[in-house]
Amino acid sequence: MATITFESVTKVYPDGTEAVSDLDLAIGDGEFMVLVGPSGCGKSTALKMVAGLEGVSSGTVAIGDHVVNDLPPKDRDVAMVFQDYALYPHMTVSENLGFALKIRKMPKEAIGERVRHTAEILGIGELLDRRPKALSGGQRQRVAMGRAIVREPRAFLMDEPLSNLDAKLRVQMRAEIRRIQTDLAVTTIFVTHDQTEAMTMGDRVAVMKKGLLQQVDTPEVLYERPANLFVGGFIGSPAMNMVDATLVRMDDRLVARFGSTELVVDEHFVDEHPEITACDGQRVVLGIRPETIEHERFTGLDPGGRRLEATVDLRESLGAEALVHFRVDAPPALTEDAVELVKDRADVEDVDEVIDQGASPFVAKIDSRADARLGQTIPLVVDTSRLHVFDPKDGRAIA
Amino acid sequence: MATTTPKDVRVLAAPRETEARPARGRRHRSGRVILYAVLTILGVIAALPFVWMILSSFKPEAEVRAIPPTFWPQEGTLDNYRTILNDPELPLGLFYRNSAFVAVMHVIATLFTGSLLGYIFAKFEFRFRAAVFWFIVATMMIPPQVTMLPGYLILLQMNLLNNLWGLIIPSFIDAFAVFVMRQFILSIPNDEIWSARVDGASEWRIYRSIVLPQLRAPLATLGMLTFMFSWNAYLWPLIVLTEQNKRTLPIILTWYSGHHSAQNNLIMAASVLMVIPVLIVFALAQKWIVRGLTLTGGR
Repeated sequence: MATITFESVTKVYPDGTEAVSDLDLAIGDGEFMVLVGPSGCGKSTALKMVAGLEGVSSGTVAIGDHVVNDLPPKDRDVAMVFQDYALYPHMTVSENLGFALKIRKMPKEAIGERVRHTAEILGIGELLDRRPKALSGGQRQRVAMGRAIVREPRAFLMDEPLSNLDAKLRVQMRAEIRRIQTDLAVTTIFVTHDQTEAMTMGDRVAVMKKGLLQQVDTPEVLYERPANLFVGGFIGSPAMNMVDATLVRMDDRLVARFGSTELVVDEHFVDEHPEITACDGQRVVLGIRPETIEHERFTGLDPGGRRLEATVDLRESLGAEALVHFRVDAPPALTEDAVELVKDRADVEDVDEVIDQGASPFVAKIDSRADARLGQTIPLVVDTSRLHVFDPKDGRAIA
Repeated sequence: MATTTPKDVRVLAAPRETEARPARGRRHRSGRVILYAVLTILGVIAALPFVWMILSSFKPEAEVRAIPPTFWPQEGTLDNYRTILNDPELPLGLFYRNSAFVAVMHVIATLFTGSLLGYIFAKFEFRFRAAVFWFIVATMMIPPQVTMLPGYLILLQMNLLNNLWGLIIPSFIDAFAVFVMRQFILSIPNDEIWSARVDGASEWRIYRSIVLPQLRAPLATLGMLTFMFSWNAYLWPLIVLTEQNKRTLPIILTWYSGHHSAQNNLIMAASVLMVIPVLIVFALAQKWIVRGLTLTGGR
């Protein structure tokens, strides 16, 4: 087992692309750290630098107490699981599992013993004589995991190992990987672009964007106290609603105004975030999580100063809850981060294609018993003690 | 938006397809008949000289020279083979040995250097990689006659004339082999190579245990082609090897034309004796060769 430390690590490719910029990150012994971010954010590059598959342009990567910048991959004692599993097609499952041990010149009987034990842990005992071609996606994934486990390495490095599985299997393997990691207590770096995966699996989650680390913390803190607009928008599903708003003081109370809506900011929120009072009269980006909006009939809150009228554009039932899509008559927040998030979510290059300048798309997660049909105008209530306020200039969280 | 997916198109087209089936089936069958007929004719044209060579090797000299020529031997005889095998001036066994040695060494060297260089050009990043690779490939464009004289002079300097290594060493690196192997190795996912590296394998081990085993089909094809090329090589061995006991098999084709004014019946029998080993090698490696020839790099 070992700690993994990035100290001011930068990776610049020969063509000048800076994939990772000045990364400082310390991963504790036995910790499950998830690196998450949209494609091209440098998370995989960071992982490959730990594995030794990519060189470090400046700074140091250390495993345990040793700086490994110049150590070849074979001497780092880490195991990696790849997105496409990278099983050797000409070897049986058993040979795939035993390959690394064979290289280490372990006696045949010991290899057989370890391979059988690992296969047992993963429930692939009956597949040992098959070739990868004859396995399903889920089975291949298990073999890839097995190949990492069998070595008993100092760290597991996983590069989007679940992205090729179907949704159901992914949820199952998520739990399984977490269980195995907890049992073995091996330091793990898990790379994914899926925030749900990140939130459900990580002891801590590091959010990256364009090579820069945005925030690293527990999933709860990332969700409740995102450091900036990007993290706020990236973490959470459905994504946080964001709108251009103005904070004004009215009758000694702070009010967030956007379009025809006025929300009175909860006093507790103001007490907890006194810095927000300095924003009186200023433009901000207001973030409201869909989970903090409820139908008036089902909210336990006093609707006074918290009401939001919504005409239902779309209703998606999730069983106990329903997602209601609607628009508020205020311009959407178009900071650099917000544009980046829209691009990532909608998978488009030009955000003008999907952004309506006059209205902001909103989603609310409400009780499914609430009467909310298409085209109907419904009264919603926002929990204003759980708002997020960001600086529109640099996206930094004000509160 | 009324977009139509390919699936929709199939669904819409389905009933029409059912109606059209009988007519299409007939057209399909007659198409196949024409195809087979054309292929059969081409096959016969390709095989004819070879069959004629075998048949003529069983004809006496007078029949080979007869006008109009005969196709089937009128009086079949094994005399031609007897004459060649008992010719005291023709050390046939030695020629076979020389040819086999050169061809086998040639195959081993080509497969080794081709796959190793192919691996390096496919999976390693280094300065001027593309330039060096295309320089090697460009040598394929040079006709061998152009390099014959310089090649001869180099061998002379190296004291390799009249030495079988004089045939082997210049063909140690084959540009075509490097090119073909690189294309195949490109289709091996980088993840597999990286995975082996992280697993602790040395580069040599990755080449041996991960890359080579996945190249069986192209190696068999390339090996066969190289063997044939080496076995049939005529002009270069004729220049490099002038001593009788150093010669390779194709020389026997000139044996009965140069010294004894073209005895075609003997030349035909000698040709058959020459191609037998190639046929054996092909028969042994057929499965892999066909697979290698049909693979286009896609796995």
